[in-house]
Amino acid sequence: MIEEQQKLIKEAIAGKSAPFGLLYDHYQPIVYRFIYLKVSHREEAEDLTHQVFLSAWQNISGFKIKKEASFIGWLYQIARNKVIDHYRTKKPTVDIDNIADPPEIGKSNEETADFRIEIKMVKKAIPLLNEIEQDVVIMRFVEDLTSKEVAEILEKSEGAIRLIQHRAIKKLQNILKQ
Amino acid sequence: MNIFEILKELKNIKPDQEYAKQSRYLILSQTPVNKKITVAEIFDWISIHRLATAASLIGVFILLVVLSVSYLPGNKNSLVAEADEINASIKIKLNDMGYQLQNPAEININEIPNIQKNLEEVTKLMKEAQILSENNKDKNMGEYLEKIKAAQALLTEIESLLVK
Repeated sequence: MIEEQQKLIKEAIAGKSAPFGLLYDHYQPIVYRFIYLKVSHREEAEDLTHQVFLSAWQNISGFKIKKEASFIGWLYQIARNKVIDHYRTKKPTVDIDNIADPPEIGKSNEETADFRIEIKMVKKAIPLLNEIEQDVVIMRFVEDLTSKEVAEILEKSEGAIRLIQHRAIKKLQNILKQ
Repeated sequence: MNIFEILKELKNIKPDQEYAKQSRYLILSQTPVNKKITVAEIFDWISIHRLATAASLIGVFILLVVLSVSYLPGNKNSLVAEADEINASIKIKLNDMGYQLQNPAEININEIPNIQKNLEEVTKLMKEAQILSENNKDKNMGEYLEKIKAAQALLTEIESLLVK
């Protein structure tokens, strides 16, 4: 799988669009979720995700494969910059009611009305964390990456990641208690 | 409320399929922008292609040497067997290098001057070895072996310098 991905990345760097299309299919939902949970707005998340992949494709020749997590790390980096630029031009407005316009959530047995409300509350709370806490919470607990993978992507030590995640979860719990 | 369970559930957030399809189409219809090429990069490119040429040249020498060695009389001679072994190892190294040269992005650009210097030395050694094998083959076998062993050692060094 990793070798296959590396091959696709190399071909995309060579300017082939079909391999980049396959990379898009694989990583686009991940990047979309990452942005959506930060901006809490579906259309804005769609627009920013589009910009991330457009930027990645236009600058793919400058991408250097360093390690396994480097491509998704690179995409996350572009996404973070796009979100920051987005907030520079527009004041962040976490509109609680706007979250009533949710993206598709898979139907699980536990999706009772209460559970839906809790999901909505957590989604509303994530943008209240600081940037790095948001990144760690999304990568560790939504995307289920290991501390090591998150550390590689965010270029921090595993210890630092554990510390941030501990602080972020505590903060989330406090926000939700209020 | 189990916060971890809820966070896990957020993985079900998915972009609208129609939007994803349209975005994909729009992105792939664009041509990737080539980065601006600097003078230094042009020199790097030239160096890489010089390397490829040098490697091909050595390949030709190797082929000639290998051919001449296989026609040497008394192939049971241990020196000839050793020469065959070294030539085979050199051919493998050259094949590997040829493959690495197809992916310039993986090449250690900083070491190109050293690699090139070593490759020129290998070429020289192999050319001398070829001349030795063409002239009085039996008499020159010892010297011939020394030349190809030196070339083999240099290629090992080049291999370690080549890849990032």
